[in-house]
Amino acid sequence: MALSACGNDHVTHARVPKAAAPAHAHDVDPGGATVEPPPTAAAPVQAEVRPTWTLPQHWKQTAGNGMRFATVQPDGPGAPDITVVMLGGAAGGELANVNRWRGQVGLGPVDDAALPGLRTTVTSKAGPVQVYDFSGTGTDAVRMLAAIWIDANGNSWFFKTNAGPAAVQAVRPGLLTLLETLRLE
Amino acid sequence: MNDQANKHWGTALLDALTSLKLAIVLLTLLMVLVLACTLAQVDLGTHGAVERYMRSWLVWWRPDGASWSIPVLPGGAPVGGLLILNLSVAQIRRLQLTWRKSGLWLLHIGLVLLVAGEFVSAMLQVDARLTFEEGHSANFVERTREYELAVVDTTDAAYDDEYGVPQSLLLAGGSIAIAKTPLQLKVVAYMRNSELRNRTDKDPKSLATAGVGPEIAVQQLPPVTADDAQDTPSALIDVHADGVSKGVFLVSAGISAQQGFSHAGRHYRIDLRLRREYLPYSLTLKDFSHDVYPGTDIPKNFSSLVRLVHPGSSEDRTVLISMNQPLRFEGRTFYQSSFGKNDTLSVLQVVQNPGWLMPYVSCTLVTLGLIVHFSFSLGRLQRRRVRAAAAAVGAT
Repeated sequence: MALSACGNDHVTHARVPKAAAPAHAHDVDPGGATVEPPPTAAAPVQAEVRPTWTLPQHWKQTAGNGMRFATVQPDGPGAPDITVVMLGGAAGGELANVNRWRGQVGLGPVDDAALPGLRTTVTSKAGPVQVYDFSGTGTDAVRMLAAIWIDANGNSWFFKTNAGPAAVQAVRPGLLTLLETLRLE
Repeated sequence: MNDQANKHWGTALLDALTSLKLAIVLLTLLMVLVLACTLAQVDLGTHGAVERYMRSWLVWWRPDGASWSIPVLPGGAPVGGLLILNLSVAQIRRLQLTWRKSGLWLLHIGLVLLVAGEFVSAMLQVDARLTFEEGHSANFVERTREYELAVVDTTDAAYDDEYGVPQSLLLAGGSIAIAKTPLQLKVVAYMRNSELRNRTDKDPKSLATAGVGPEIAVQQLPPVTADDAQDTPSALIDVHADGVSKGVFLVSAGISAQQGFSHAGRHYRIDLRLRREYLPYSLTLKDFSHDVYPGTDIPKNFSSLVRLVHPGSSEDRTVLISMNQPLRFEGRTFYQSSFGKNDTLSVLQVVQNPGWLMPYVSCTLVTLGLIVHFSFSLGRLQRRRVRAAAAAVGAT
């Protein structure tokens, strides 16, 4: 067993011609691939997920950078941006994210049992999207409109905007329409 | 006197080591381990169960909720090792080198080879995966459970220089110099498995100071072993170039965003990814076929039509890799493993195991040994019957 480590503990170097990015195992759902040879059956796997959607009229979108996949800019003066972020895996899970959003508008945490009563489910071609709409209290109240969609590889996609209650209300119908058009490229 | 005592102890030890009782105890232990390992696959997955029961020195048990654990069984490594020793020494010591005993010789050699084959596999087998789409070529494989920190010099327009720091070095921590570059990497933290989420004001300040890391909160999780689960490792890497800090980067298998830095006119990308091994040849997926039984969705056959090009040996041929017809080439075996993307993407399981023939040789030897041994026994029995019959005739 000790020998198995031999030859593995050094920095490797390879000079690789530049080429179009190849498919690699990160694009594959590890649960879908059979890994024990010889295979007696092959299971379908998912390639890299690249969702797309249709923007409401006059809305704009810019490509994101870093961990942000895209930024959607609704039409209208003072309309808050909607961020689209993808994180690998469950990213804490739905409950943890809901409580994080609630915390950001000054609301207390809830438990799993409360989630169905708090969310609206939007059905899209890419699967169900869970939408949460929380309003804080007080004169400086912030409203949080956030949606979570889990792709076929188990990664978490977040659509989120927060601003004053009226500003969020103005973009809400457009965001729900956008989520209904969510699909895979 | 001392010489006699040493001789006595030596003989006693040799007797114990070569005893049939020890062989039976070891074979029983092996059966217990195989049973426990099989049952454990429900919770641990195949890989996790084999690592815990068969490729370990001791099998540990931890009571529910306890922070301590105790060894409850010897692992497959000492049991297999002792069994090899027992069978080998017993054979040399006891068995006569005669034709009559040739069956038993073959049987013992076969059993020793069977156990030794598992040691060779445990030490030297490498499992990897090759994923490509129709019309695309691939010249590297990715290990299925090992990661590496990739630092890629992307400055040149024609090629990238890729430096791979294996997971074992990241786990060891400390500073890692990248040869032939001005880069020095200090491992601030390495997590075999983790969960990422957006960082909020309530989270403690991120240790990452560059790239996308400051926006992300990372939480360490225990590694997973189930076959259908995969770790999401993360690391915090303090990058220095010619002694100048370029910041602390959070790299993770869960981050798809590209991160990098520049130094002295050169541009670098930094990423945590499955460990790559480049091949001296390339495979191009010409066509992937997915056949089903007529009128159903039940899979019948999967196959990849692949063009193999090896510039070093001028080899250029087309190969069909299907479910039970792998491609064996230069020490690696490519099995059709999976597929995706509307049947335009194929996944090959790539196994490198120098001892892959040993179980076949072993089974052949054991079969031959049994045939030879029972043939001699049958002959003896036959002769005894003939003699008994002759004696009976003589008595009448």
